[in-house]
Amino acid sequence: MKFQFLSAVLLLFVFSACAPESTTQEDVKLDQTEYDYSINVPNSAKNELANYYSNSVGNTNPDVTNAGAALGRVLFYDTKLSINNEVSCGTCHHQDLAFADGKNLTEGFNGQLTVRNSKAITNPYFANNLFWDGRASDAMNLTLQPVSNHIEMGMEDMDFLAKKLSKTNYYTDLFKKAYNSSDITSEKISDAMAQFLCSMTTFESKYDEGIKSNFSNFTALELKGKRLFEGSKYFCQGCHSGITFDAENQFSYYGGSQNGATNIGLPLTRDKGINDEGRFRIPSLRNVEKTAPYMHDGRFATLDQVIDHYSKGIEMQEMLDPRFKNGNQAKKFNISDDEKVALVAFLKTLTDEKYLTNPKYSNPFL
Amino acid sequence: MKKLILLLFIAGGFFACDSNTVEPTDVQPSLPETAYNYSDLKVPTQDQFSFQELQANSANPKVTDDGATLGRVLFYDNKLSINNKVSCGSCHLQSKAFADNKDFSEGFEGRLTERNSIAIINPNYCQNLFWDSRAGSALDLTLKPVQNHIEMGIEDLDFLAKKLSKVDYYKDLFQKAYGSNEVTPQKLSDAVAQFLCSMTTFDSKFDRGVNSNFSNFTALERKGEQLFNSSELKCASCHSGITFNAELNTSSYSQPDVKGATNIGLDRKSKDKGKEDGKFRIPSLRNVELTGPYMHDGRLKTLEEVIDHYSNKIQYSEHLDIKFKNGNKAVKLNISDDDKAALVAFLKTLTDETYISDPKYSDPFVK
Repeated sequence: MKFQFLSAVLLLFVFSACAPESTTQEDVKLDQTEYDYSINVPNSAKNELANYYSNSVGNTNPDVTNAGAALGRVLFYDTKLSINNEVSCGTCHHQDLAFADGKNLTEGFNGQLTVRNSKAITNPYFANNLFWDGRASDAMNLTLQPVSNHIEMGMEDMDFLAKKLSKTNYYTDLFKKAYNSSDITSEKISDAMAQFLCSMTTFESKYDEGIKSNFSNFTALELKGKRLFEGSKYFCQGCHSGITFDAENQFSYYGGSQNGATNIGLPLTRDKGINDEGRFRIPSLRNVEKTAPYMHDGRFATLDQVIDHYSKGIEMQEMLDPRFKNGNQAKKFNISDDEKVALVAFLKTLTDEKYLTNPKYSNPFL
Repeated sequence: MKKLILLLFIAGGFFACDSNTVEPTDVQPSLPETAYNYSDLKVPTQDQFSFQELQANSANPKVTDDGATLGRVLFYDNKLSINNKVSCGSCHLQSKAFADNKDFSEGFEGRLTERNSIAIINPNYCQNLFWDSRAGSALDLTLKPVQNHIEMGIEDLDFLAKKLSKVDYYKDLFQKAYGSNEVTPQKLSDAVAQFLCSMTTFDSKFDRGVNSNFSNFTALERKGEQLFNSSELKCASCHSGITFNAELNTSSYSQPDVKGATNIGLDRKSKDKGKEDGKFRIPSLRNVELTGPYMHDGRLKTLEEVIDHYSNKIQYSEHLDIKFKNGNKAVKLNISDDDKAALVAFLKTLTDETYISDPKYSDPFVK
């Protein structure tokens, strides 16, 4: 009799433990510090970016609020956004690598490899061509795509995700602070993550210091590299232009590359880029020292190899960027070893140490 | 008898004033038997420095050899001024890349124009012509100086057409260009525009450098070129691309609503407002070595003075180009003497010797 009673009680316990209203196992600790996420562009960048945002047509990015970005930060690092709770955005975007991940291709939630190299996160607020194929026109547009990708995070049903997060206790408060209600929808998830992304600005490198002081802080080698980068001979700034070092800002020097993407004559494999034309988005070079390996498939392990490509490795293709053509052949820039060293030294001045360690962008799950 | 002689004199007088004759010194243009090749424009197809195809302004007529030949004659013909003293070529001298080395030029009555004569540099690829950008194409520009009451003084273009109809060398030229010897203002404009559009200049030391990784440059020229393109000085942001101006849409980051013209802080308050608010057309720097004095009023006499202006003489005003602002002050670039010398050396590599001596652009009325 006692035994039957006890087993009944035990069964009851077991059932209540599996009740659908409970959250997942651990008692999660989150960094509760309140940070200022307002988009802060330094004076040295202000002039050039002044016209950028107001003139970007069709931008759907939300205004950044501290509570919204704080929520976005949690979502960014929360593995619950993947179908099997193993992968978050932060899994393939590591702050210490300027939000790249040091791998050629990355493993998704099921161990399958993604098709392209994980891109660093560099001033996405000032970008209209996100992903290697430029398919997202702004951060808002981008946010849920990796979440629903069947290799990366596998969460195809956004309503299911919203329900799942509704049962996660720490989100109640976060959503209330951000949206005045603890009601969770996929739009709000997207919005909060977009706010976090937009708040991620990186404009505090040695180069940026240099702007204020006529580059008196640069070594002779770095200055030489800068001149080579900017000069007509190699004209790297023709694509990697202006204060953002990419081709996103139509108001930077020569941002006339087609929608921030071009074909640089990489021998193509399975991935033929935009419209199979061998065109890929021109990434920003900020923090490039940290974001190896390089190119859409991570084929170049070092900056030296990248420069070797431009020097002698450009392959003639139909859609090759005309600036790399010399008649019907690919141009050979023939960059000397000394010049290569100088260029690499210059590229390293684009590293923003603050960005790589700023706690407000770090993983809040303690 | 005396009355008859008097009558004869009077009649003779009338004959002498026959409107069919022109000025006593009726110089014929000296033209080649086979027209020069104007239609092969010899431009690079691609701006090497921006993703822009070099495209002719669609408002301009297509260049034909005979049309441009006629245009050349008109360009240098004094008859296009009311008193037969001034032609386009009077203020646009080939040896100066079609500028004239004066602050202001003298018009047909010796009165001074209000702005410096601009060099003629690849006008077929421009949408901002005149210092105030008021002409949107070479075609739009052509007869405006003719009609200007200081410059050439022929306000009535029908009168001009009639005048030129009576000039015998135009009969053949119009016939060849248009299949009829009828002279109309539209044809005048079209022919001069064809000549202007044929005037291309892309054959300088710089252009040869583009194709040879600048191995032809001296160390000083190379230094100047790097300074020109540098993020500190940003010369290339207005004087951009292969045309060294701001004509190509995305090749400059002036305020987006002001294409091709800007305010560079010449005056705190502009007497000459230019296009608007003291913004003037950004001229091409090709052949700049030859085209002084500089700016819309020729105030800066040498290239060194120009660089001094940018170095520390820019004047702040509300309308100053944003690139030259540092809060509510004007930027001071503080260009050293060494850097200045390098920049000038670079600018001199933009001189195209063939352009200033090519006979097809020269004055056909000179012996």
